[in-house]
Amino acid sequence: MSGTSSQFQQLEKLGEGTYATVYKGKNKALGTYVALKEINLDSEEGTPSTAIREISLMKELKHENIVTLYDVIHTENKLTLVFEFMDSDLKRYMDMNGYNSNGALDPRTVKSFMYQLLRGILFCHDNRVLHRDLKPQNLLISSKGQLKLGDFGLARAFGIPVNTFSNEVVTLWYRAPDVLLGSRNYSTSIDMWSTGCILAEMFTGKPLFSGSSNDDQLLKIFRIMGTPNERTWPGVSNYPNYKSNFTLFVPQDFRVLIPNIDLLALQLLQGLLQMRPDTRLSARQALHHAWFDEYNNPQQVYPQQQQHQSLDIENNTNMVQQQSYNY
Amino acid sequence: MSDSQAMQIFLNSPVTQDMIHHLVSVTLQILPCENSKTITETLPSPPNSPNNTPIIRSKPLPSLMTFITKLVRYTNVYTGTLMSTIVYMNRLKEKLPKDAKGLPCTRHRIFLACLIIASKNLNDSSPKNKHWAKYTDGLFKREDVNLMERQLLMLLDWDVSIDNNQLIYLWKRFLDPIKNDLKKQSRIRNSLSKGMIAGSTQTIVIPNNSIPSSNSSSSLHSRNSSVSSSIYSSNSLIHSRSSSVSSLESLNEEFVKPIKNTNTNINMNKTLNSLNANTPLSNYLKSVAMKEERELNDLIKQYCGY
Repeated sequence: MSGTSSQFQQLEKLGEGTYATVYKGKNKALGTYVALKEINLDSEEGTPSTAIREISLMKELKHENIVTLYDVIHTENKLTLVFEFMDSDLKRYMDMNGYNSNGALDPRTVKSFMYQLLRGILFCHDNRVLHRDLKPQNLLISSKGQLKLGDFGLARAFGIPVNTFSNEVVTLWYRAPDVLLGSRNYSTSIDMWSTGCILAEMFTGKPLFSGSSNDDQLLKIFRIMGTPNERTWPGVSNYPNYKSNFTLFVPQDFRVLIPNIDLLALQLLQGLLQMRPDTRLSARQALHHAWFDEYNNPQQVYPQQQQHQSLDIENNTNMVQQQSYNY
Repeated sequence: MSDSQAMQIFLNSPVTQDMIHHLVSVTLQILPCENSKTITETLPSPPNSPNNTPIIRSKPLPSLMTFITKLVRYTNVYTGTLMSTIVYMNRLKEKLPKDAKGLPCTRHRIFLACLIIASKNLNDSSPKNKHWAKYTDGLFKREDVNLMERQLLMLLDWDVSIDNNQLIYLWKRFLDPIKNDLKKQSRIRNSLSKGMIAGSTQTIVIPNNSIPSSNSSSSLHSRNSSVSSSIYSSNSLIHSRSSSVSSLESLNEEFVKPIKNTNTNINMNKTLNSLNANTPLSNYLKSVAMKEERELNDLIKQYCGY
């Protein structure tokens, strides 16, 4: 059965990636576990561009919040990427650990995951890499509560003028409105929208915008964010997929959708979910947001106070939870 | 600023023979190869008779110039993608052992593999290897193409990254004339506006300016078209480019925009350029091309023993 290199013993299947199957593997010599991402090579296509980019980028991106690529085994009909093994991904983690089994995570976990996610993204962006497929399934979680970005199959280097881009990127639910409107000259802000969607999803356990098609996705976004116009988003009517007869919606208050969110997190969420790509927070700005003060300036917050605050938050959220269950 | 401006103009210009010459010379310098003539001579030459010609199993090796020119023509590859192969060819050269020697077709393989990798890495939509095999006119089979791609990735250790400064350095010979042109234009524009305001006696010949015939191409345009016309008309190149592979069509739309922008720029500068009728840009380019031809011949002598 083991079709990979004899160095590894192939164990159970962990999942299907965008263009590959991932298995758990065991290094026979060391007894350690790895993730084996197997890509079947199609003789018509040759080596997929996704694999070429993923390998080339992952070899450069060494960071504690990015999954490590150990090795590449390239044979005539199969390409195997050997990655560090992670216990779970954020999607499965939410399904298993969300309280009241609705998938929502407690605010402290949300904050820790969000901070690690942003650090991973910042490292990518500082190294001129766009991930372009951020979603809970692609965020890997270790048993120690570490979060790492994975699946760089859609990732691209940016900042060199020779590139040409497609707007068929990012899983629909996490795709930014400018990309849905047909933008091809997007940059780092494309990842920041996805990050905002993930933040909301961690609080509620449910995807924020779950459209079924490009148009439906836009509509779902407009329904909550309000339909953009030239006044709220100068230049919006120049996008290829813009229609002057979009159904008009007024912006909704996030607190109705995410009752357990605290004010600072809400502020951060609003900064990330800016319709206009140029006003969306960058990863660096997001990391410096006051919500993360306890990580950024731990000495400034007195331990007691900190404990007190977080207890307060928990009490509040518990109250909100109860209220919502009384309905 | 002027680097990125020149880069944009370069990327939006069609592929020229000058560029292909340069690629041939870079490819030739990667490693010495066996003389292809000795090989082709041992192959049966195709009979000239018009009746049933026997199937020729192995094709004579075309010159690198012909090989690259055909690839460019068949694929309508972007100028940026094509010229990025230099990054990979140089990287490969550094990794090869000093005494590395190739077969007659090794350099053809290296160039094609570099072009495929550049195309896959830089564009979200690119041809499959079976298409690349077709573009070689039967010289390489799909299996050959897959193998050369795999070998190149292994030799490069999957490092296919490209950065802007590398490109600026490697494309210097192409960017410098554009930059000089831009500088000259802005200088003329400055002196022109000064002259207008002060009404000075600077030697500005207005009549030249007043007849900007629609046919008189700007220096930037002539630079591209005059050189490329010797392979194929630049018009047909531009046309075929916009009607390229359907999956790339939408990408091309995006590329039309910057071209339009620079066009208006060029048009604006056209009148200014015509003032500077003595600019021997075309002469300069001719001499560069001739110099290159000589260098190329030397290299061919050196490496192929022709």
